[in-house]
Amino acid sequence: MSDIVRPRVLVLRGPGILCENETALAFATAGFEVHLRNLDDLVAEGYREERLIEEYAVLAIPGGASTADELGSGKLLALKMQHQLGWTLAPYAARGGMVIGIGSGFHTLIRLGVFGKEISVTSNGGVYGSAGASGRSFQAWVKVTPIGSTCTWLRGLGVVDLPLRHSDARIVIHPNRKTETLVKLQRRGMHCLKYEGNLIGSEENIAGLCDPSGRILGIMPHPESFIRWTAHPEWTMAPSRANAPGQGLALFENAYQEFMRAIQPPA
Amino acid sequence: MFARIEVALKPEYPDPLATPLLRRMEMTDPHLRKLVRWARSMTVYWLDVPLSREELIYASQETLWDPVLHWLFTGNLIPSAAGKHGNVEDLLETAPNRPGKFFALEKRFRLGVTDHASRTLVQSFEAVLKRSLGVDARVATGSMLLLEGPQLTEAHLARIARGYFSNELLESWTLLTEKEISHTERFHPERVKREMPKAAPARFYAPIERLAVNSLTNGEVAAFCKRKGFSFADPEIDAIRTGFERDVTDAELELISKVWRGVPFRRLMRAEIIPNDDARAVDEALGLPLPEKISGLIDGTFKESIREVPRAWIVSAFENGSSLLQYDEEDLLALETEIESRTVASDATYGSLMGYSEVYLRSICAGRGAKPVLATDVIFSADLHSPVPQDQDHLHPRRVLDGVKQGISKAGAQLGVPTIGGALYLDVKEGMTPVVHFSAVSLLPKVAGGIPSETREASAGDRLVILGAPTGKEGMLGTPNVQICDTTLLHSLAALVAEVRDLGWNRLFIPCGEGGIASVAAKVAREFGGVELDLDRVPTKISGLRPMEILGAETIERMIALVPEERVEAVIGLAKRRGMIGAEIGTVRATGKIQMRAPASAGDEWIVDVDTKFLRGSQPRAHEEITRPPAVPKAGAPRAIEWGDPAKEGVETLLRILSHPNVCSREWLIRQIDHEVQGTSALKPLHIASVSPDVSHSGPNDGGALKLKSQSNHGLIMTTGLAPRAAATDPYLMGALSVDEAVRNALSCGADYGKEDFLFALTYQFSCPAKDLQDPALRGGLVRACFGATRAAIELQTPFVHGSQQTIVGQNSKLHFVVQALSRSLKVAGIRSADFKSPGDAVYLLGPARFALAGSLVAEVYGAVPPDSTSPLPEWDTARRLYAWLGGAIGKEQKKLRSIHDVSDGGLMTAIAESCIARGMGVALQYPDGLPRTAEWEFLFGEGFHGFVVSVGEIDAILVEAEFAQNEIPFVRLGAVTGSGVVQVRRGDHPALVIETKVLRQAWKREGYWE
Repeated sequence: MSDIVRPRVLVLRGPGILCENETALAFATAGFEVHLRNLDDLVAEGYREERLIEEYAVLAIPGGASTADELGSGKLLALKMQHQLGWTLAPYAARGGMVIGIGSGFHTLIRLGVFGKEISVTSNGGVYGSAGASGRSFQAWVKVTPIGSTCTWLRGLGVVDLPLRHSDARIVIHPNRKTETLVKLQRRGMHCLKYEGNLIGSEENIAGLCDPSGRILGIMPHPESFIRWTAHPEWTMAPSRANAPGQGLALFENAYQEFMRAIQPPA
Repeated sequence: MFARIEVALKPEYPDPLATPLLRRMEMTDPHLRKLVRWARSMTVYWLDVPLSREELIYASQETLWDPVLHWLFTGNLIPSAAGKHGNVEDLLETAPNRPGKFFALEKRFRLGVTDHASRTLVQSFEAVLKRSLGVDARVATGSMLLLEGPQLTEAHLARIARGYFSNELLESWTLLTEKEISHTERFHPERVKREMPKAAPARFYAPIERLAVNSLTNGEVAAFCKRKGFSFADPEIDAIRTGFERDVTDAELELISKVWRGVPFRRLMRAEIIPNDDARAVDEALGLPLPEKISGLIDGTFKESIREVPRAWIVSAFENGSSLLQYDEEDLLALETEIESRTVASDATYGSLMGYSEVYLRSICAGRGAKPVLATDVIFSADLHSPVPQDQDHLHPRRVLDGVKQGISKAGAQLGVPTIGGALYLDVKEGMTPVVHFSAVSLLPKVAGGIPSETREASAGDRLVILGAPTGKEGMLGTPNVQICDTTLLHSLAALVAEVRDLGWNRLFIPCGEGGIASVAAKVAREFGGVELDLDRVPTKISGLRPMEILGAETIERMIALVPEERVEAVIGLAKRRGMIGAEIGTVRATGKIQMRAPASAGDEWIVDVDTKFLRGSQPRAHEEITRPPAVPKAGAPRAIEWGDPAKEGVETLLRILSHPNVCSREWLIRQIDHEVQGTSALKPLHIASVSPDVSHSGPNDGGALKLKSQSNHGLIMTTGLAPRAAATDPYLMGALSVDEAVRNALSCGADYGKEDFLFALTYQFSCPAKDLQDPALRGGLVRACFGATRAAIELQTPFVHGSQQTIVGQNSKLHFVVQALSRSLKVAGIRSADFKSPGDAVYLLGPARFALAGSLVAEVYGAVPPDSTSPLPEWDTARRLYAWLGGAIGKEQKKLRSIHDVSDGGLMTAIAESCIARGMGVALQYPDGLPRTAEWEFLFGEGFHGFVVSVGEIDAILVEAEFAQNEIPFVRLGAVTGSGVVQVRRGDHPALVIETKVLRQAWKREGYWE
């Protein structure tokens, strides 16, 4: 990747992925060269993880309703990535790549096993399904707080407001292995983002997880939806700030800065 | 190999089907709910797949089993995938009462109903095994509901099955006893084999039926048509007889019926309408009298608004395809509307999903291909407190509305379109079936592939390529009138449209849902000279479809692309790569005819050979007389008050209004439907006081706004206007008030208004039962509403550009009339919300304040109006000045408005209360002493035209007031916002209304429920 001057991000699109355009916009605003590619085209090409490592600094799995949640949100996408493309993403992160999965993109990372087999996510389950632990399926803005310093994406962030959609999708931990899993998450700095308040019943208020390298982030709220201030529900209190950036942009800028740091020659 | 796999969530997790099902039962049939002590659900898969046992085990574990969440019950296929018993006993043991009395209801889709989950499972197996399973792989999905309750009888279980668990139109269900639940016999391969959906019959073609229309009576023709599933009025049969000097095929009749579809409304839309004197008369202050003769309702009304108010930003309106408006230098907006009632009656969830999908499909086909960016739903439903229906045929309004909500929510979430600017109207008089008015706005480049997007051109020799889903029997006689739309495929279709458009491979996309291939063929032939179709090349879901069915089926997830011959292969190849069908099915011809060839197996002859001039010009034009509907007599004595002193009755009145079903909080609904997706939200349906899940911190806005493009500073605003209560006074007034409210709401959100180049367009939608169109007075009401709306649109210089109408089912006589405004704010910073912002801000009433009690909510609440009450009247000249100031065309101090909220349902006091609720603000206001009693009520709670409550920083008040005076804008300075948390209104020197804001908030939050 060292010969790339402007970092390139691969933003996946395909059946059930809905948020690819706003995700692409967030990366472009942060300074990335954005490539939107259909997952089925990658499958047809036999696009292996080695090529991903060579060609892209960041992989983004946007939110949506991957194949309408029929087998569990993000499931089919994960199966295609795992079995048809052979992606596991750990080698990619180990070679300096960064990954973000947002909303159902986070679900895809969970289904891929990036955060361990003890972590899962409840999801809608068909057109008549709904209701997570809260008994409600709704969208709202939430406050989330970064934890620790492992996650590269969240570096330097304080409490931020972000929109949450379809909040019945909540993170759960294997009931028989909860204690050891929590210890593992804490020890490795993987529980990197928590909800302020337990709006949706996500275990341990988990709003985001990262892998032990801190380069792969799964996040439930949508930072790509808050890259300009007018998206915030209270912005009309201060119209003069209408053109200010939103707090979500910082995540994408962190990825950009990380790339720039990586390519700078040592002092 | 045959297998049955049951997937259950572990008992630690809330059940996604049983939990809400029990909650719905609790709300609508508490007695039945008490009989159910425990319930859990499982998803069931029946598999017939060409796999070895080992392959099936591997694929099932990879796709269906999440060890954190699931238990899998598979007979003996995967014994390790459940708890200690390894079977359903694991689940039954979690019931609180053991030993209990257990039952199970099992449901599955009926044959012919699309089962999308089965397709996803096959795709997943193929991904895991890295090979195709071939066409012989069959999967069916269903679910099982386990119930425990010692007093449950078969009758109770049937009520649960029919009312809460399944829709018998689409699904079949069976009842299992405890013994059957525990027994593993249902996993036996032979049993699974028996239960698999039967293979489709071999492809065959029934003979094409020909009707000797010239030798049969109208009655005989009508009987033939009825058997085929369509109908014609006598004059139409005469026209067909005249147009054909030969026998007519059933496929030709299907084609004609599709093109002349919507007989009751179509007749009125085309009719010569003759109003009598009474029906023509209109109050001079309200508008103009109706003409003596109206040639076509839409042409004589809504289209007239464009002739009177031509605007350069209207690129096309009321023409083929969507209406197109210029948004900015680069892009156009396309508008689409759709009304659903019949399908919602059949299944509220899938019916709503279908309506949304239909409008989405049309939106992506706009111009040369477009991206939907905004959706709006206006729902009319029965009051949620209606009594529990006593018969099987009706579900409780809560149950139905919940289904509508789920359908819209799912569609929005799976298609990725933000929903803003809609409305929910609840009516105690409404029938049991909701009516949903859908709208969608899409964005498209002004020029695509070097050709302006509004250009509709094709050449003889261009090919018709069908894209999307294979054709089924949807919409045909003998099938459910609701279909389960595949939103994932629709979304992929939208992406395909953008790809094909950007590559410049297509000329046009034509939606192929409602009206089917027949309707597309007629459009192509009419616009481009003729068409020839080969129905044998249309991919179908099931074999054996007859030509008439292929022609008429209304499978939604399809479109037809007009493609130059040299691009056909590329377009089809791309479609197949995107997981959908693509097939060339016909050619544009310069024959002036629609010609369709039967398959070779049916004789390879023309089964349709119809002149387009016949289709376009032969439908007879009816003459319809209309009268004026009588005003609904005023109710008897007031129920609760005798219109006493507002100082004594005002607080109670305000609380009753705020908790009224049509004023109170809609947060329970709004938050379950996505308005944030695409990341464009700039004004949400609710304003909030802090980022918190606590609903007490929200209040209503007057509409919604989006910032569509990152590189543009424009805001797009969508708002709705409704005035159903005014119909009882005069439908003409209802039409005018609806327009004024939609415009007011847009201005409240910050829309630009008052200059010719300011985008500000209206759409109409109306629906009523077909029987209403037979009644001259009810028909007259509809016509008057259209004229009232048109006159208001002309007066306000906001033309109608699009609309739709539909007959509905299951309703009392009722006209649903909806106006929506699509407008723009050139600077997104000009968008405003309705909440009072800071203590000390000055509060004003803007507008002529000619409020009235007739048709008001306070009159509905109290059941009567005072004897000397009047109806509201507009002041159009004043309105244009006020609106131009608010819209930025005159003056400059409007930028200093800190909040703005229109005065509508519940009048001035309600608007003030709604502005206080979110932030817990108070107000200290004053209104004039000495008003006559009725005038006092009118001032506080009356409704009408052109009213706004605004707040301005105290420091800016002098400048703003000076500009009001300079521009002759009527205003009343009412007082100021306070931080006291108390709404205090004084009459002269005396307190009149004093109430804490938190009490108002409690009243406002009363209605609704979360699901």
